[in-house]
Amino acid sequence: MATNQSTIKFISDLRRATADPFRAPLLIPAWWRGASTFVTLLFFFLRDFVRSPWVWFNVMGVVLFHLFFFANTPSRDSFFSVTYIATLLLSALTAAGIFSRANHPHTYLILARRISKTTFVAAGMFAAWIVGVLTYVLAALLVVLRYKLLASDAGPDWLTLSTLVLGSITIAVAALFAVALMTLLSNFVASFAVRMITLAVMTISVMAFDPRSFPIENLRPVMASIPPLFAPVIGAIQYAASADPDTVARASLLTVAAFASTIIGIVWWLSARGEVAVE
Amino acid sequence: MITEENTFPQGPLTVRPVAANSQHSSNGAQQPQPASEQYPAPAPSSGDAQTAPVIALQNVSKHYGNLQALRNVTIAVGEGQTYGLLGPTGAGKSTLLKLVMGWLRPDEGSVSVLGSTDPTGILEAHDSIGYISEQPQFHNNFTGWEYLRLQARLSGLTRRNTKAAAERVVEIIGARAWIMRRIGYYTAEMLQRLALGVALVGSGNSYPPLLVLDEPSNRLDRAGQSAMRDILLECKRRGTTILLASHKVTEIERICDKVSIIKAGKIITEADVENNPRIIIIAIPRSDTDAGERLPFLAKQLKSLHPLVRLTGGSNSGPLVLSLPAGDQVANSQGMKARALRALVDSSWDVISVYVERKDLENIYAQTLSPITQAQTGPLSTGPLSMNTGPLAPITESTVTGPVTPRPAIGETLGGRLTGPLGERSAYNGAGHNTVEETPADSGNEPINH
Repeated sequence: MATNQSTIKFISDLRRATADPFRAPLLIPAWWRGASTFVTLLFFFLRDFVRSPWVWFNVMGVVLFHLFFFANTPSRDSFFSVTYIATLLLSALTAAGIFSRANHPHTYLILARRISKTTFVAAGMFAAWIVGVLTYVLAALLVVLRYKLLASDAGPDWLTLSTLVLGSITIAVAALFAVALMTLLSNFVASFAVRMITLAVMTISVMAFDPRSFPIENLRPVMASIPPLFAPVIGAIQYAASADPDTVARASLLTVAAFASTIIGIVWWLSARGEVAVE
Repeated sequence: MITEENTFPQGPLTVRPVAANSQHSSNGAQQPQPASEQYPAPAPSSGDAQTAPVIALQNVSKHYGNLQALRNVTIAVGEGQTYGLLGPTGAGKSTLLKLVMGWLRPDEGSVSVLGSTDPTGILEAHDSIGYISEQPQFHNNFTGWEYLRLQARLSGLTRRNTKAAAERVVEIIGARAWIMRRIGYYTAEMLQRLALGVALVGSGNSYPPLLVLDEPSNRLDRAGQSAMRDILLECKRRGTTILLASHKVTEIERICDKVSIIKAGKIITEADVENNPRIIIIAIPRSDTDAGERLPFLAKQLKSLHPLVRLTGGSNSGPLVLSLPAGDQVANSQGMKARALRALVDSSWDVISVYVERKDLENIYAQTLSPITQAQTGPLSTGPLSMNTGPLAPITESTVTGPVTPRPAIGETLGGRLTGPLGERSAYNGAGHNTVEETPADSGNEPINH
């Protein structure tokens, strides 16, 4: 009898304890706080992006690329070339969307919590990168569905899971580069001067591909001496497109990764130093 | 109205500890707390700025390019104090609050918030701060409920507690009917209420130690403003320190203990806000009596009524001005007034005027910002002014009667309107005070018969 009563009391206490939410420790452990905040912010960015009109650019982009460029069964080369460019563009667009939404007074309410601008920017970048990679996954799924699963024949030989996973490395690095670059160009992160300098460097790098087309004739020799900085971004496609990538493709991929890391470092530095001033 | 009984049956609410991570040990493990420590009794509002200030700005200047947003600003907000920043749009109030939040960094001077002066320390202090931005805007794709839970989660509450904290705040801001709607469909008033909820939700089952509010009742109607004021006063009662920026004099006047008037980035004046009115009695010695000789005895008798009784003038047959505390600070001000009047009459002093005086921030604000005043006093005053420090100035005819509304004679004041309706008649007396004529019907006392 006594045992029964103590059991009932125990269960009663347990129910009360679990029913009363504030009996549990109020705060999450300190060691988990940073990671928890980052994950919460990340999901917040993703949810906000998915619910915003910006997401339709990505969906429409994937569909249009698919319809226009994959009308016939794509080769490995054409699939990865098109998907690489599409992911690069859509990742850049996503980052632009996320940081254009961040540059808004509602950001103050998020930053009023114990969240540094650096953490906020890092979570935004990571969210944009995830969207970019998911864009690639969606494109790949569409191709697999159309030319493998729903096709009457066996489909192209190259269209295997291992090829798609291996190709995703290049795509992921390129997406990170695009996201980092667009973050550096956002006025939430960088000042007007920094953005102008970045744009100037980008313009010169692109024009260095063909110095003869440079509008100022006297400067054409100078342009010719400037190495085309973004050449590795194009060269990295070969790492995904080729079944046996050469040294140039590998070096290009590493260079793109180095670009991305450098730009992320600059973004980090600017965010840590800069004030929070939104439009 | 806050209905904490329904929300928190397990204990009284109080202010969350100032050091947000104080519940963690140095190795990061969470320390179990006894219930008495988790839910201590409400901290009394000390309002004492003499202790280490919760917020301190020392000679802070801030530029935006060529525009000087703040110039040499120095303020100190004590624990439990409610400090108002009053100024027109563009005066620099929001910039000051952003400096306090650590989003902007001063070009000159130092900012200290909850004991932290460096940006990292101020960021850590955000766990102890509730913030409302000017015309708060939200991520419109979320529902209010989602947003409150997000904010609670970002404040470091456990997943389970985010729900309870959000539920509590929904009760406080009266949002049960609409909190599940998307924020994009909210009215301006709902947005303002949600902003208050966001400011409070991070504290879990308590109130934040510090509230930084930028025009918190900007878009609220009269009822909403009243509800907002109730909530803020409740926070104040619980010991929350509040820094409130507003261009509304009444908002500052009703909530704040102290106010700084700011214009063009400069603190023009700093003043205590005394919400309690005082009963002013002016009397003159009856001729052919020994009223003057009995003054010391009378003064002793009057001062024994209450420690806050002030007495000025009365010498050389001049008028005697008696200032009695009223409002919340005394239990029976009318009885005290009756005893004072009786003492005056018994000592052969004729009462010529009785009125209630309130400190009027609006007049001070208007005077401070008027170009004429600034031309007279120089561009900016060099030090803080206080409205209620020191005794009343020596009595002159102008201060007794006021330049705008001459005091009525004793017959008019005490006898002429004995049967009139309850009411107040406000008039500016030219000294930054709003005076309210009080008829005997106000007090419910019998008239004095001479």
